[in-house]
Amino acid sequence: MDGVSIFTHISLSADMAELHIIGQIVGASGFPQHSLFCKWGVHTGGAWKLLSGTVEGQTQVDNPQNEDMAFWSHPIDIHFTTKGLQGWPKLHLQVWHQDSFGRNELYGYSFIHVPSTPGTHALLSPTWRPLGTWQEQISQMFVGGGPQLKSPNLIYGGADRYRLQTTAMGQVHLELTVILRNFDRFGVEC
Amino acid sequence: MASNTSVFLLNVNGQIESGEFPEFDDLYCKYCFVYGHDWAPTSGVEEGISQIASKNRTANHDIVWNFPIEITFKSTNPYGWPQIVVSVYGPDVFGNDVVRGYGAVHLPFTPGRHKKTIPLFVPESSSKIQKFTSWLTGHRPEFTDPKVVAQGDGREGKAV
Repeated sequence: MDGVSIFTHISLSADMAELHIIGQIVGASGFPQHSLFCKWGVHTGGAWKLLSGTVEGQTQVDNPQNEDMAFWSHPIDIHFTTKGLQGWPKLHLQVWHQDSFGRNELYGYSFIHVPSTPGTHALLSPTWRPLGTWQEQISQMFVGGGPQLKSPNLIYGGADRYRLQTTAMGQVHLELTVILRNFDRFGVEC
Repeated sequence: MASNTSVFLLNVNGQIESGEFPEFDDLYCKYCFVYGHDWAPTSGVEEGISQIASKNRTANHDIVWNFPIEITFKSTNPYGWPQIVVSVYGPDVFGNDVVRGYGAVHLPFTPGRHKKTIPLFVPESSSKIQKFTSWLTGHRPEFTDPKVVAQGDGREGKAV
């Protein structure tokens, strides 16, 4: 049995290209309040297979004492194999604010493609949130809360965006190292 | 970028991230591609319309679209290398959508991560009487096909 599983693993790595994404969701800046946390996920096309690591998660709530930036230092370590370039991985992020009553409100959505160049990249991903009607905007000023997307695929998809009205929010800071293997075997220059 | 015997592929992943518009707000953008005869898209979306995005009055003053672009082209020849054409629209004082800028840039020529800033421009009316009717009606001159901003010919005698 063992021999079989080793054999399948070898054949897998031989005819597929591999991608490692290792790094951190460092933190966030430019948001109106502190006490922020981040939900994240990685979305890929059908040709991509996850070999190891988790592709979604949530950070702790960071409440910095007097700094402008919230730090999460949330680790990311993912290993993919792929048969094609379509659907290159992208990271989607949701920044939430937790108020003093423990209520969570959405502060920003954003997505970013994982860089295709090997190496370490310091990335800055600006976020946005849906804007409600003016009644909702006034109520948000007093009691907080706000509209959220029903389907998260609008975060990283472009198809139905035209029905949305949004406003700019803060930025998420990321540090990702990309390691590629066997892409050159398929004539891919990265 | 992937290369075959004679056909090569150009794989593009990215986004229209944000825009800097000191005078305007509540803007959406459209993109499309202009490419030569030897080029053909093999997968992905060739055009898109973003959400209507506004600035954040408290923090930084950019408009964030975060609008995805994913496309693959194939070609045998770099001639006619694809350009992305971006046009930005927003409401005027009467609430009518008018164009706030056209711009174009070639897709990057080297593999890797690229950040491009596209300067945008709008056409001006070509005569005094058109300037006056445009002022009166609130309709700005627009290109019927935004793809003209990716073409070099026919530019003489036009003001922007």
